[in-house]
Amino acid sequence: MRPIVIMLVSLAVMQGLLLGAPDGSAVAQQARPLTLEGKQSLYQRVVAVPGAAITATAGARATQPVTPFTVYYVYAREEVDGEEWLRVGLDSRGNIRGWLPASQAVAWRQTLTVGFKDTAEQPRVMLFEDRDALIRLAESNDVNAFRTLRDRAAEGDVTDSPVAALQPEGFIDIRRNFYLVPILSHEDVLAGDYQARLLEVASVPLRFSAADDPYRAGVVFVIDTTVSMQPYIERTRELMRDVSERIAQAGLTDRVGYGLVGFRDDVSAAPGLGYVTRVYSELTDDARTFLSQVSGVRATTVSSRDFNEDPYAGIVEAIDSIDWSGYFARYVILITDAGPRLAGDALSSTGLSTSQLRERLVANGIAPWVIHLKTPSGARNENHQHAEDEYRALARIEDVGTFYHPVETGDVAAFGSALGTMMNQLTAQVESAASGFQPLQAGADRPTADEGDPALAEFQASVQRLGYALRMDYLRQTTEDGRAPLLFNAWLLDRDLEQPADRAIDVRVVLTRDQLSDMHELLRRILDRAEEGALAPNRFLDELRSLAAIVSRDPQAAQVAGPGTSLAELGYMREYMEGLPYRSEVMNLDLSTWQQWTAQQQFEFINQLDSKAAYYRALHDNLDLWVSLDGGPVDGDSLHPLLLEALP
Amino acid sequence: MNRSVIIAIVAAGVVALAVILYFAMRTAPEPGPPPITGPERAEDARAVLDQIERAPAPDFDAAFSSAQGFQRDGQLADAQLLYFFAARAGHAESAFALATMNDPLHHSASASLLPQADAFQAYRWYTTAQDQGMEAARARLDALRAWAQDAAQAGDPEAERLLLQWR
Repeated sequence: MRPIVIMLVSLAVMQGLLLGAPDGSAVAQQARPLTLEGKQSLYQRVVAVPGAAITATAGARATQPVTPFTVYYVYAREEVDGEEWLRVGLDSRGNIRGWLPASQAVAWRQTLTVGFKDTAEQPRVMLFEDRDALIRLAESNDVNAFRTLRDRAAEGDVTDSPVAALQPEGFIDIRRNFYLVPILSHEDVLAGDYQARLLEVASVPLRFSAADDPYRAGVVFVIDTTVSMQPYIERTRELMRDVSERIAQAGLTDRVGYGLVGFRDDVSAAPGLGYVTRVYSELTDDARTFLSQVSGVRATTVSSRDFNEDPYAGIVEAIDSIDWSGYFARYVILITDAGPRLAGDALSSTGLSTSQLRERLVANGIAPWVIHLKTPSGARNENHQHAEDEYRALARIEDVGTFYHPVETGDVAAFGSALGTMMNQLTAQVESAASGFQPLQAGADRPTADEGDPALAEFQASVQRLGYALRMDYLRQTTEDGRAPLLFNAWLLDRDLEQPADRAIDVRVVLTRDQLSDMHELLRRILDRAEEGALAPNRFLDELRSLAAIVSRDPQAAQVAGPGTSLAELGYMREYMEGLPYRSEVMNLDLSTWQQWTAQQQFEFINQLDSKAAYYRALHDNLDLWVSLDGGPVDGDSLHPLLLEALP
Repeated sequence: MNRSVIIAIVAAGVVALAVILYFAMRTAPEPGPPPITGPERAEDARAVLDQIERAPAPDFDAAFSSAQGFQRDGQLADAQLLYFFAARAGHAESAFALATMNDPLHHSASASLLPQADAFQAYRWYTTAQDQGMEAARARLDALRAWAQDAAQAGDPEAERLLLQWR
């Protein structure tokens, strides 16, 4: 039996790492990260590789695993027994986490990342493990070979292929669901007639998905089949028919299994009930079998003794009678309108309290989800509060979330919509694991509930966290030596040989909110000067010189500036821009060019500055578009992946 | 005249000739291209601006009237500069005119300095006009927003960025 419980603990540790107290010394609180060589304001940052772990002191045995691809600031470097160690923190304000071996981190100098496009509009991007093979393909412009490699990779065939991974299907908007595919280096190559960028990125390989023991999810519905539950039973059945079709279409039939246990209540008190629990369907990945076995599920017409039922008996039946082996991710979904009978209740067939049942679920690596139908009848019987209290406690997974979802008034449509959303998300998680590619921090299983349903959105966020932890744990366990799959470097082209005219991906620069704020401030000042300069051209150069003297990191440059000096040479944003695969029209503006420009050219320049400055301001103020890697509120260290072309 | 004097005169002549030849023959330094003047640099508008700025209090209505005149005459750089000068100071009519010149729903190559509309500029100057209480600007902003929503829907990244301004 797979120890998912260890995964949950390890996730708790990860979350603890992210959210818990830093190492806390007064010195640490005031420390600043190391700056990049030759820079005064850009800090050294690294990305943790999968399997990385942190220690309290350099050279000590690692104890705390970290979420792969976590971005750290480097506060110190130290060598212990010939190995380099990094003292790392989650922000630039001294929030230090501990020490990480340098071998478990990748330097992320320019904070560039890949933004994937919608695969409905753009072929899936291939990640090559062989740089030279990709260059040869690009230069020979061999479209057929390119297509064949992609088709093979999509089928999971990477034998003797230079392709290591493939972009996941679908579209994840990186601005709203931040993920990270760090770009480690870039160079220009020719792809046919087009100038393209060859990007070296950090990635998790496709091969791990080809493990003999694939990532499979088992879902057992534990459904209340007492009076008045018939509409929900039917809705669940209809939904499962749709879900199984979608799973078959996605080619994931063997990756997801379903089962169903019905429960009622003590039959001695109400013999007409027929059973306390009944396994209608074992876990099976054969949708037809499942649907035919559950076609006989009917709600009874006989009333039980009181409003509480015995759902815990149904869950215990699911734990004990169902064969969960072969299912890495395990879920029990309880659907009921009644509260549970607890230990001490003479009619409870298990005699288990909520916490005892929860322990049994955890020990078996099963995540419990509860959909609580708050029907008017339950309200009349004043049963809802008792039920909610117990189910919330049952469905809580430490540091991940509470998998309890109430359906007000027991609305059947709302129930169907919530269950459908959850099932789709689970399918997406299985699909993501099957693709073997992990653009971390988010995925296709991102919350999709609309803004009008914050409870469901919260539920989905918890499902996403749980799914992520499960997949990473799976990756750790499926490597040959039981260690996490190490990050490997892959290469990709930003143009696709089949559609070379469009960029296949976006290159984005991940900026902190403070950096964007600085850029906005500078841009506004340049804009003010440029506007004055358009009205009084003769004063523009002097205005810029005086501004440069104030804001430039290189006052010397400002003093010797002449008409041929560009804004970048005056020091504006030089540190941000140097070495990026982007040529800034604004920053490369030569002042003598400005003086030669027509009014039209000057206004075009001003308008460009103006719209960028306004965009930065709006972006800065729009908190939805920022992500805090420490899980805290949005602050100056929060990140946004800005399109390279949106730089000044 | 003694011989040494003659030698001195000849030597001086040779030196003078060498100097003349040197300056005549040497490559002249690349002169920078002369600054552009005339209509492309909106010289007429700048002359109007000079006058306005010399007055104790700038007359933005006068700037606006001149801008309208230039626009009618097709001197679009001059019109743009004067509208811009007054709009920047909060002159509602000038801001509205400048916004219209940039509005994708009202842009016309014959009435706008820039060959393409610029929705953000339209937003900026309509907002200025609206802030000065101009009702017509409010309606234009509503229409512009609807336009941006459609354009963003169709995948226009500029329009998508512009929409952030309304949040």
